[in-house]
Amino acid sequence: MKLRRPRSRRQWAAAAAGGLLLLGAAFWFVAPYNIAASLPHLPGVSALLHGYLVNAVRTWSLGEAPPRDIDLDDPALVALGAGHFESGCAPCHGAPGRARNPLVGGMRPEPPSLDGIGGKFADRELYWIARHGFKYTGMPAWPTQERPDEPWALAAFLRRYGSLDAEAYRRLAYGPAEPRRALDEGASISFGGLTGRLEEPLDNCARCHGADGLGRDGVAPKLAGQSEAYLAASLEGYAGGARPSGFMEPLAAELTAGERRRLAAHFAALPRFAATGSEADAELLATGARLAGEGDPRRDIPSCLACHGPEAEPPRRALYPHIAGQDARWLERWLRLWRDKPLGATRFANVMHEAARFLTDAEIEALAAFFAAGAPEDAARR
Amino acid sequence: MDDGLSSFRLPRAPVAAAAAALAPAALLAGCSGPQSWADTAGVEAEAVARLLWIMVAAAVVIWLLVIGTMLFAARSGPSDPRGRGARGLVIWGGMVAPTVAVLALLVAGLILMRDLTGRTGELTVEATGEQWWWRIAHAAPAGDADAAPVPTPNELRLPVGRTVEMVLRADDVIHSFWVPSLGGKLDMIPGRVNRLHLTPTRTGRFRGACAEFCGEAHAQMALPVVVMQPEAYADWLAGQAAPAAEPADARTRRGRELFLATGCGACHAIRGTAAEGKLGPDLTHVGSRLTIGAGQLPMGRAEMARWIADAGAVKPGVRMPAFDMLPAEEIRLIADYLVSLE
Repeated sequence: MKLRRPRSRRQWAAAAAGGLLLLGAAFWFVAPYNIAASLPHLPGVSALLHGYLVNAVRTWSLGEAPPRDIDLDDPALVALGAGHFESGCAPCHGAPGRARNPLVGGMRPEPPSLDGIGGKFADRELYWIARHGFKYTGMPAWPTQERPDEPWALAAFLRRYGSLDAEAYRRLAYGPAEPRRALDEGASISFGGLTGRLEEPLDNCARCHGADGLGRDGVAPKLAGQSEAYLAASLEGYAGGARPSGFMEPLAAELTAGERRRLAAHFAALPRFAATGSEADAELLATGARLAGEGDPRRDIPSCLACHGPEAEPPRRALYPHIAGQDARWLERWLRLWRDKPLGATRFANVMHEAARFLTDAEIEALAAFFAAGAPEDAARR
Repeated sequence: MDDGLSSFRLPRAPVAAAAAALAPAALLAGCSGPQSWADTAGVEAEAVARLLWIMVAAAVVIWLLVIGTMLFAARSGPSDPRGRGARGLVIWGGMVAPTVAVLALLVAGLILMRDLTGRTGELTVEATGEQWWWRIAHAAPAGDADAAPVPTPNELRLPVGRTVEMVLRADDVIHSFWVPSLGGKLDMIPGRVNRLHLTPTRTGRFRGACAEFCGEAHAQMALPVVVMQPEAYADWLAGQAAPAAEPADARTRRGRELFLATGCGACHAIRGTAAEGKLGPDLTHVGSRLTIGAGQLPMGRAEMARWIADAGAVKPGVRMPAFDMLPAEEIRLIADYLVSLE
């Protein structure tokens, strides 16, 4: 084949395009740009990539806003975000007052310390980052995309990150429970399991659910006195991914089947939770009581109490959780999830979806208030 | 009927021709049976059928006249359109006759409609269309005027020789009530009350159907109908009005326990127990019904267990969720209990 000198402008252009393509292919094949994490980027490359990342976060988070039942100033939500940060984020990003493991320093890009994150990103941007992560950086997406509600806890925590010292962070992430190892004792790394393998996985539960299983004032659902069958099925569901949760799946997955059973038995044996006083107004309670008792047959909303009623009459299935006295946040959260689709550890989730699918936001709020108040029998008459 | 319909799907000409030849026979076979406007078992159905036959006869006469005139015109060659008699033929044959025929049909139809809907019945039965079943309630037995209507969902029983006033409503979308053997068809419209009369003339089992597309399981929204002697009807109604029987043995007792523990009472009522749900069919005497799922399965313990395990597999779109996560033995116990409720 004999190469001819291009004559027309069109031939010049075609030759140039072909040449560029050839050059690109050669670049791709020879790979002269060194991707070794041990070397820094060439000048300007980091800034270019990071600038694109910031722009992408801004663009793609447009339109994200917390749903009506999520309040970013809720202390329980902040503590939940801190608890998850401790198990899911701190291993790479460190935590207030805590050094990072040298292993992390070898990452390129290096996971930034978040000390300066305050003010850099809007709430919706923090949420988007926690939910979606970044390609080619080692920053993972939220463990499940089925729970768009959960990453808001991280946003609620991160917007306060800059103002926290080591002690304030410890109180948020652990509550009154003392971690077995002092947090500044060493910079070890372990995903999901905190600083090394804890002797007792119970500590992991207690961080959010409380050692008493009462949920630390709404940080996590109350578990104390729930039936063992229900708790075991839920943990199995989290471990196997049938019940989606970015908080619970990583923790449940690393437990052995025996540990899951023992944990279920432990929380089932604790004194049953009860309502802790309600500030809901009487009208809201009355609406909730009517709906819980009789449903709304015209709109195909069944009674809640037929399945979740008082213990004795009718006797309940062990897989139907006790909900009178449960924290309103979690009642509301789960009712909203079930309204949209069947999510859950067992196929009873289909039944909950069928029961909740026609509820309005206002009705969900009323039901949550009624059951959080302990399902008082006289509420409907007030 | 199937033979006639399947001919449309068969591409090979000889088979199609054979099927087409068989089609009239198949159509005639469809004229008898439990769901037929031609094989009448009610005063109202007879009136509808009579009007139809008169219409068919008149249509045949008119058709013969028109075709005959056409043939005559074609054979007699060109003629002057302004000739003698042409104007009269157009005015009388083309304008007056159709107007009179249509007016006569309108008057006959209005009179018939008055007869189907306008009188007061000797007893009242309420029927409400739901997706996709029939909420039916009979006026309580005579002498007990204050008593609540007796719920007997998905099955209509009527005494022979009495005029029944059907009070028709709809809960969600438009349905249509039609028992072809007994009488006319009338829509059930949300927010409206329509009234229809049925006067059965012979006892037997018939079949009704929803006659207005109402969603996914429209085709599975059937209505078994039983016409009984008045004494048998009175006995039956008294039985239906009573609360559910106590379980007779340990097995059905356990079934009742499981029914309540599983929360079936959130949607279903069994009068005499804690189950008071009003969303789905009342199950107080479900074992006495002929079918399960509005005409979908014959009543039986295996069929009931199948329905509980996955109703949607029998009737796609049904609102009842599948309960196949329950142990199979528990489903059988619940089914046995329900079938024992006669």
